[in-house]
Amino acid sequence: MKIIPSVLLVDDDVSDLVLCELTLGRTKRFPRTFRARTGEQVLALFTRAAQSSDPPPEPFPPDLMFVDVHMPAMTGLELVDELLRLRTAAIVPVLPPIVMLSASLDPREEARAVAHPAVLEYMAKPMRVDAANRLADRLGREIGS
Amino acid sequence: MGEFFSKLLDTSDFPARWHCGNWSDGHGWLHIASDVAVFLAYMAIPIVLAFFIIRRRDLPFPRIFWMFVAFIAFCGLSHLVEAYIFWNPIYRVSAVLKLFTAVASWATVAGLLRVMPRAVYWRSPEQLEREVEARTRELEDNRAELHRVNLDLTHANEDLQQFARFISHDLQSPLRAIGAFVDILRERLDDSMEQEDVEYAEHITGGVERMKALLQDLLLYTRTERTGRMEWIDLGSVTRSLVEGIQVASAGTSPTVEYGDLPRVFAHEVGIRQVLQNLVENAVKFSGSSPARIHISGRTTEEAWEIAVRDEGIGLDTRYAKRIFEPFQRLHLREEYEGTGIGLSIVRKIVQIHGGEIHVESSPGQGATFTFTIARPTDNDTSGGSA
Repeated sequence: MKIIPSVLLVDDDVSDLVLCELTLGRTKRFPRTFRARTGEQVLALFTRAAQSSDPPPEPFPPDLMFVDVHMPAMTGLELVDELLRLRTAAIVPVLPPIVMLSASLDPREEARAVAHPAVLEYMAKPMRVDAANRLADRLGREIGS
Repeated sequence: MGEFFSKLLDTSDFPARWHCGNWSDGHGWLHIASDVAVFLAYMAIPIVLAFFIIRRRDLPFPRIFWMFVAFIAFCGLSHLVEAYIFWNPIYRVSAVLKLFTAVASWATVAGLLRVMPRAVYWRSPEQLEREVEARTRELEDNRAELHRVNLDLTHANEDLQQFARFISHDLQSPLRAIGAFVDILRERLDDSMEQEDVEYAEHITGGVERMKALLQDLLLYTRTERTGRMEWIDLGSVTRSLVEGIQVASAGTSPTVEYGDLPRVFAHEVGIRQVLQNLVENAVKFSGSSPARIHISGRTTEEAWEIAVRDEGIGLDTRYAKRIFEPFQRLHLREEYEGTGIGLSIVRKIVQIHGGEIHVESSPGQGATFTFTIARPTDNDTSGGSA
């Protein structure tokens, strides 16, 4: 079975974070999740880890990020823009695959998200267990079954 | 020269024309009859012309027509004198008359040259009629278009009203059901619920409450529209009563609101009061740790009244300055600051109804200044009596 050891969930909505953790937990393939509530927090995490010479505290860096599209102040896509800028400027050595999450029914939003070079895919909220399993199959690391 | 005028009517220096040369009767009378005929015609023309000029008050270039009258009349008189000279040789009178004719003729030429550029572009009645027809058609088209747009607007407004009813009833009732049944479940399962279950139930209740607030504010936003009448209102007294209300409501940590001379504005009183109230409440909400200090000032420009509401609160990142006027846009986590994020969008909507604009200047930690305008009406807008 393939697993994704460390996942960063970015969402301002606590209920959505809890739901996401529940879904990931039910697959038993995402052993560690940690939360950020705003884009600013995520940027702070990445730049601090990049500037510090100590190895970053577990579970950073994540192997996968789920980012909510709609957040107060910095939106999900603005956050991804910023992360890509940090990566391009070589301030951040590597970016994890990013999955955008949204409850929006607007198809243009999905189109904008998947068109972004740093976005792996777009998922409708709430995330489904089979979608989480598919992600683990695609990106996960094999561990002894 | 003096001799010429003193002998103006003296004919002793010349013979009458009949006695000057060898005229046959036929030849002489041909001259006389023709000159008299020309004289009569040349007098008839100016009389008709003068009548025409007097009757047609709208005639273009009337002075030129009067010049024609004078010059043709002089020509006619010259011909009469030419005939008269066959019997009475008034050659001096004849010369003076010819001089007058020459002056009148050249004055007419000069006048003609002067009006020519304008006369060339003078539109004929047919041309004018065609233009009027074209304009009329255009107006009718515009009226039809206006009628269509008006119908569209009426439909859009009906849709909006229906949408508002839909929000206030149809969307609320399933939500109430969810909330009520979760409460019932929580009561019934009270003892047997694990800690996690309680937490999940709270997420449901929290979601229901948020949804209620969102729907309520969406309704508020939808119902913010052009209602009531525009009138002259004194912003100073509106602000004074607003500030008194706030200070009563928040006894204790009462915010300080200062305001200078504020203009009288032509606006919807309820709307403008709402704008000021939302901006002041916004400033109080984001005042940070110390009690809010708010300054309201106003100035009058050529086209608008400009009102500024300045605070010394937490400010905001101007990257998001535009976004905060969109409905339900927030810059903070819910647990940091309550509210759905509708207040400033209602402010902007009301300001736009007043033909104005709103913007914010700020930087984090440095307070914020919200400046909005109210378009000043033209005289036509305000002179409509009590309407």
